[in-house]
Amino acid sequence: MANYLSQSWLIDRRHALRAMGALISLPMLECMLPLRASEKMTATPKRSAFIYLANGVHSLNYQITKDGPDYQFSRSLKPLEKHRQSITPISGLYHAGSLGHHHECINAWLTGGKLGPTDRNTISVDQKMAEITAQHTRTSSMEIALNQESLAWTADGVRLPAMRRCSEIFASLFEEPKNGKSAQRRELRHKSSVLDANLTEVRRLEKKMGAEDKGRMDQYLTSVREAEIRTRRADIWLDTPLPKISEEDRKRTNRDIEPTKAGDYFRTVYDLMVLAFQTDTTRVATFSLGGEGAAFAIPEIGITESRHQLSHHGGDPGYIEKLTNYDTFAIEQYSYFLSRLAETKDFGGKPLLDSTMSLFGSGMTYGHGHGNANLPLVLAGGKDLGLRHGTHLDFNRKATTFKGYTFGQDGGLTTAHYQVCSRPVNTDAHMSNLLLLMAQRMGVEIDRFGDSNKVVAL
Amino acid sequence: MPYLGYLSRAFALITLSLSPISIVRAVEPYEAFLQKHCVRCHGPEKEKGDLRFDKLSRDFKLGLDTHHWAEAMENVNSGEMPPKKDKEPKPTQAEIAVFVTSLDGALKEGRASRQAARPVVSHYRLSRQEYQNTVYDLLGVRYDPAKQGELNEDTRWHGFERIGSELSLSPSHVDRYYRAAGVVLDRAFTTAGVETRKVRKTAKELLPDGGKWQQAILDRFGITRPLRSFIYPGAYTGNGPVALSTGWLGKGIGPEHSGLYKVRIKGSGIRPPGGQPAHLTIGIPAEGESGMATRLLGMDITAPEDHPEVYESQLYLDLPAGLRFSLEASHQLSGTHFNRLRPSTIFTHSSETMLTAPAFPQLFDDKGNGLYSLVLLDWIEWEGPLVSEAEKARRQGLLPPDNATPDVVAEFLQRFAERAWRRPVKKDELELYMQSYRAERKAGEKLADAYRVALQGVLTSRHFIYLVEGDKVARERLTQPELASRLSYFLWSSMPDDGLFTAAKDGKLSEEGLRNEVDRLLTDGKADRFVDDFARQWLQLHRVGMFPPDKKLYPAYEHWLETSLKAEPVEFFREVFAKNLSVDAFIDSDWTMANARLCEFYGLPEPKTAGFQRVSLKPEDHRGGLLTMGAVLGLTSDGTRHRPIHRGVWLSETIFGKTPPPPPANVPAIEPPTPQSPKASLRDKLAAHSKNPNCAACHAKIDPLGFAWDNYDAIGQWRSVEKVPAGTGADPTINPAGELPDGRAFKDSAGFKQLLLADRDAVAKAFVEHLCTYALRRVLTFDDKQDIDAIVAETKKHDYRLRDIVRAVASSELMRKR
Repeated sequence: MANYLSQSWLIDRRHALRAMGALISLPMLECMLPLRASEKMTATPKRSAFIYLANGVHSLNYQITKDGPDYQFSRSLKPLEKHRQSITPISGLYHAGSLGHHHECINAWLTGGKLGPTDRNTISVDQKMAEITAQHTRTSSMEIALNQESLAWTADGVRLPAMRRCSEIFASLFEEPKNGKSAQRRELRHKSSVLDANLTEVRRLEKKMGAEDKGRMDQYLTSVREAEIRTRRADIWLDTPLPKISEEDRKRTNRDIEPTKAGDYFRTVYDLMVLAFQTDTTRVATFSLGGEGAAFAIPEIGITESRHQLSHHGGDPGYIEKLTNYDTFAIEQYSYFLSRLAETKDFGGKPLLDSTMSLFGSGMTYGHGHGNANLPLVLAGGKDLGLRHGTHLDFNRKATTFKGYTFGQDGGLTTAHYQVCSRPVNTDAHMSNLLLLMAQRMGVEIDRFGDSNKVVAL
Repeated sequence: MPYLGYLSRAFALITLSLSPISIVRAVEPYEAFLQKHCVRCHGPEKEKGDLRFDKLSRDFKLGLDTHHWAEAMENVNSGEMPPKKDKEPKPTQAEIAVFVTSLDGALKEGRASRQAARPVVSHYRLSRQEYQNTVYDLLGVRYDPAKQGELNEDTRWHGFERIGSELSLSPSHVDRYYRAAGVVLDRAFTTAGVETRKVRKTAKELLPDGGKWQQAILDRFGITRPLRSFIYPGAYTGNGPVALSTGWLGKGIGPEHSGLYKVRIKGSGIRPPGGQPAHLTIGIPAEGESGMATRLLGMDITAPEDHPEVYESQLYLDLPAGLRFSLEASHQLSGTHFNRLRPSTIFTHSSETMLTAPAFPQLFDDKGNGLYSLVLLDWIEWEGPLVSEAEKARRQGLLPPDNATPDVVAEFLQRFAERAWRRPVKKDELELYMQSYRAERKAGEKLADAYRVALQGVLTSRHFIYLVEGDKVARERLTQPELASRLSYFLWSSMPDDGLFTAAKDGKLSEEGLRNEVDRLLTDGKADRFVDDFARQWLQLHRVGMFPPDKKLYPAYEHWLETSLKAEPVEFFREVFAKNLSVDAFIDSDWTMANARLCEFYGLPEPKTAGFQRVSLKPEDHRGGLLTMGAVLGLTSDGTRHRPIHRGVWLSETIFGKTPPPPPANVPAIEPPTPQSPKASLRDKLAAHSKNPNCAACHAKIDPLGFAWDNYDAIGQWRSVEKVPAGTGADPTINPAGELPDGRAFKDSAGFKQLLLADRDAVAKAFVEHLCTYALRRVLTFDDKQDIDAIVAETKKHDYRLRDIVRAVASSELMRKR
């Protein structure tokens, strides 16, 4: 497996310039640095994955009520029990910008941005991470959404498009370039040439106009420039053989699965994420199990309603039961992902789980009333990145005004808990603080992210 | 909504009559509130939370302190401020309302002017739809940017897809534009040599093995009727007949054979008594057995069994492709015996099924009536790709001859760029692209291949993907070519044609000449694109089906119904436009545009002919105008329940052009009822919710606009009781009565429409504003007010007729300004 990480692809600058045709005015590009040159301190790559479950959860069956290391798993979180030492369930966080914005919460989940018809979103944490990891991998980041939109946003507040089908994801990672290397190189040369001309054209306009009033063109400029850098990177990667994927892995993952087989679909996407990390094809991935309006039904466990429909249960006990089963099912598949990461070794022989942080959760908590506080979140893995797991981290309990969870006679949480899920108990507990922690552990040098007010300690 | 800040007429009057900032400051309604309730702690004496209202910038246009103001509004709105323990008297509900409304207005106005701010050169990106139309009009190439993996979806602003400040660009957009240009050029270059083919497959040939043994059986029993294919609801995968297999068209069919195809089908439709007409769909099946991934075509097949007819349609095909038939109805067949319906099953006639296949599940009753919707197919025929002479003409002279000198190549490129960039282009502007060409030649490329790189550059240039207005020296007016583009993108959603280019070149786009061109554009068939695009965006039809209706609660809802519902308002708009009717029709009418499926849904008599047509309405039908169309009522619901507040907000934005202030973030949750509590209507539940004075201030204005439509459920069906899933007792009766903020009362939706008609000037004005927002691709500001008023005054003279309004906007002062 080690052969595809050899550095034989490193090319000298002259060769690259020849491949680029007439374009010799560019400074040394990041991509011409030796692999992991900027990462000499850590031998292992750092990786992150984000998984989104739409419409919140049935919080009365999800909430863990005891904090600290000897917490008890709730009914919905039970499937994660075997990973107890590798996970941290987190309660009490919220995005100030999403409160009151119903289903738009998915847009701010990884950005911590403000929502509204006239607010522009900000960069999502995965893209912030990709800014530093992109130079090391063939694919800068991977955006998957089984339907509706992706979770990833650029610095300009533009949403990145998502991949949906497993065969499409597989092709984006492992498919040989069409018509061989030289045809591909020629195609990249054309693209480089075109983008360079477009870029120069705008730069000339800029010169004419002076610094002010560039407005929109700044964005165009950064985007074309970035696209050009990617084209050059792709050209250099052409000389690196694609990672070899075993026939068994290929068969399992390079196929299309119908949405009626949700479990198989979820697990196969997880498998693809594991493959992408294992082969170091990318280090950052986001995965939406389905959008707020269209997350799948799960016929295999008797759920024929869409998730959105179940979340507006209107107090109906049958719907509530199904919603809980759905939550449990989705968490079970996430548990599968963690197991796969734990049993798969990276090229250094260590479990992928230790170098991969993952965050599972939702931007909503109480779907029936569109409550966006006390978000359901589980952080897992990433031991080598310094994360210490094993406890339930409860920000509700850190608030002095919190009077504790309210239990009924049957020992379960009462509907008063819906208030905790709708109005933040601990107003300082911003989810951006957690995203900031993850960004920092990835090596991103920032001390603020979104609306962070401090960093979560873990 | 396009007029941000114009929230109540009273408020608008105040700001308009007092424009200098210093005077406004003393009078702005929110200032009084600040003085009375806020400055005590956030002013010169105390500076709690580091916030001093007297020091915050009132220049909302500059927007320096917008976040502080927004926070203040939010905190007052949510009741956090002034603090509860404060000994001073609390603000009243009316005071809160005035404060929130006026501050929100000021903030929005400021935001609007920032959004509308025009730098010396402004760039408005083409929307995805406009890109599609433009490459078609430029090169005669059909390219669908909405297909997965092609261009990204446009960011909308209140439904509008083409607001410049919203259409931003990421590196992935650039990649996709580059790829799109490649696809477009491939099609332009390669389709030249592709021949049109025609192939017909009979029902017999559609059977596995060409139907040899089925025919043999028929022959043995002496049955002379020909074999027919049958398609039943739910049969669209594994089992159903293939509609197209790439191999039918011949060997070596690839992407270059993609294009427009004519499909003809001969068949009959069986309709069960009381059931729906058979609706046949052709599409790309989803992987496995879960239905259609993409529907390309749908038609009602209504010919009787013994008198089949030929149905014809055209569609764009991306080849290679495997297409299937499906039949959609609200009741799909299921059950093990239907598994016996295999492609190999013999079928000739409803009277002969027992004879030919004893195990055949029953599809007809003993009188020969169908038990289910079915299509009986005799043959299907495909013909294409169809390339019209007009399309070919657009590609003529695209490529320089093989022996062309660089100078000749440059001339070709210049000619192309002038059309692509929609303006005169100087040769030195193209020097960069000629450099690419020369570099490619040097690298050994053939002339055509090197030239293609230059063309691709022209198509990914900012001059192509943006509408560029302005120059390095600031000016107030558009140039003639800029005006030509603005007009054609307004009325055609695409680039100007040769006529419009020429008019611009000759400087004829003013006064008489401008009006003539506008008239010509409006009578051209391409004006249909305006109808499609504007109606969809104005009414926010993209929201239809965003939250798919609950199948158990709304079994009648299926894909064909949704498609029909979504088309109704657009067809209605088309009719009002074509007949130049008054925009009053949008509020109420005694007719609508419907097809058979919609007539069934609305309980109207079924039309005799297929497709959308004008049908008349009686008061007891409870329809008429846009507001009681299923699409509008559905898009403001959440798939499970109707949402009065969403309906109120939609109405306020779309019909009045006013966006209510956003809800406070920290609202306590509505808890679901317990199974023991009595059933309550959503209206009663919301009433409990808005007793809170902080909520009540705004909801008093929004909610009545929504409650008026409570007689329509989440998919727009009429009802008089509201079905409540949980609770005890009877389902509550609907109460659609209410009172507008100005005190006028209405009894129900019909009464509400009358009140709107009485406000027709306000409604028409809001409509003109929406139209201008669309045409100018930007948010309006107070600076535009005079021009808008002039358009409104002019069109009022002629009863606010739709076509007149569009014509007035297109030839207005406003259109000619930057």
